Amino acid sequence: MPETTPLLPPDVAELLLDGEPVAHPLAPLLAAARRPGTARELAGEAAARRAFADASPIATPVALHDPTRPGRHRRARLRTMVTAKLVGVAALTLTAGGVAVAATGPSGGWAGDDDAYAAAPADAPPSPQAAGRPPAAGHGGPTVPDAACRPVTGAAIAELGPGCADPSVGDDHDGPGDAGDDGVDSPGIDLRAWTPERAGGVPPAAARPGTPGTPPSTAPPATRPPSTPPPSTTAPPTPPTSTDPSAPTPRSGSGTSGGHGNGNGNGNGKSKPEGAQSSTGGAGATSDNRTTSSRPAGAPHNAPAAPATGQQAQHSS
Amino acid sequence: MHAVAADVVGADVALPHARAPQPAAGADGSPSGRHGDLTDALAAARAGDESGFVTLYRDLQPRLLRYATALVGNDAEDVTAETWLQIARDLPRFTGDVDGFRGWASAICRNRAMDVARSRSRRPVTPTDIDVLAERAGPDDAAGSALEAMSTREAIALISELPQDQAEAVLLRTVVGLDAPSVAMVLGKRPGAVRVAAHRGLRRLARMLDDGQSPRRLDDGRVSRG
Repeated sequence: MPETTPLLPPDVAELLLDGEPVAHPLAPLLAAARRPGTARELAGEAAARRAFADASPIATPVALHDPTRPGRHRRARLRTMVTAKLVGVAALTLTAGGVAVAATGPSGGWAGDDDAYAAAPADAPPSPQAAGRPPAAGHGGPTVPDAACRPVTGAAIAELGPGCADPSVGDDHDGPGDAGDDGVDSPGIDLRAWTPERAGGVPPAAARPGTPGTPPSTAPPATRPPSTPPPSTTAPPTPPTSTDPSAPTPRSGSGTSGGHGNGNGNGNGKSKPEGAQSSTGGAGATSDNRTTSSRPAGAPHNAPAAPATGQQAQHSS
Repeated sequence: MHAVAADVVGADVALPHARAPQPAAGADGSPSGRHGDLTDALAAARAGDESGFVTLYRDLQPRLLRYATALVGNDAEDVTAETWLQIARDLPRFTGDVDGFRGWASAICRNRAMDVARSRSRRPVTPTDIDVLAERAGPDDAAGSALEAMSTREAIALISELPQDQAEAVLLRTVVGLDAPSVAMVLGKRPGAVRVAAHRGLRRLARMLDDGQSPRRLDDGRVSRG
């Protein structure tokens, strides 16, 4: 069916569409469509104003900050990057710390020492410092023993179990001073194990700070008491009153064998200064086992100390 | 009006090109200097000035309402209300001149109309009779303005009887005042296609006027597709 199309050249159509005044029947129609808005068409002006006013507090700052908006994004990006870097550094630090702890743990930690000292009686002698440490521990640390002392008391004594139980081990001649200095036979100890230590396998005790030079031979008897729970069999060299600093008995002091030398200490009413006073004021005349046990080890020239140790051993036995 | 195609155009994109200001499209009928006033009003509105926003509203709201009426009928006022809500919210981010602002607002209005058309397709409602709309007068309209409004409504009703692409092309060019490239951007078409559609729409309108019959009866079979 053919389409009846009125004459409408393209240029006239463009003029009509542009709103130009053209003499064409469509012009009034398009002019009516373009007529200004009525009041009814503008009835939503109040709502639009409200919408604009509501949006203005949000919109105006956005307009003001429009130039800095990229900066804000950049700041947020920077913050994210810095946070990621901090997290990465923290993770690296933790990892490095863990590696460091893992690397240093076996050599300097408790477990490694325990293992080393557990094998000590078999192939290597216990450290010479072990002889002097129990008194030192008695002076300062109340409960936690030194790393050099602990293993000897645990594993070495377990190894030396029969010998420790034997009263002859705590004999005067097998005491710290004797065995270390002269190499006198001790029934429960293999003397061959002591040889490499003297040769220098273990650093000399005098090299360590805070411990007087002790011969290696003094270690087994002196360190025995702290580790052995029953004092009847394992603490012959030192009376339990003074070896264990945590024990309540040193306070009185007078009832023990060393009580006569602790008369000064009793005045203080403290157990720890008591040992210090006895070591200084007592000057070896006292029977304080700390001085006696350490003095033969650290100062072999101190003659009265060695008999004191033997005396204590006799007391315990 | 035919069913509106879901051709989505970016509503937040400013339209850079628009034709020269429409001489007869203003509300006050004085074209000279009006473009400059609207430019100032646009700048003021972007800075947060409410009076500038009101000036823009009074200039553009009738055009958008007529365009939306051709698209969705009775829901035109809701569509334009949502359009101005979005304009008020996003105006500080708008960059462009007055013609670009008109294109931007038209794109927003069209998108909102598409949303209404989609919801209407899901939830059918009674279609609005365009003749009833033309006879309905506003409560505050005087007698003279009611006649003028009716003629305007009749014109919009005639244009709305065109196929959708033609009706939109004619309305956007004649009522809203965009040029062909801007209409092409709003509709997502090429400017040549928009021009062809507008010309075909005008020819069909001319036939309607020559026949002196309602477009509805023309659609009933008297005139084949042009």
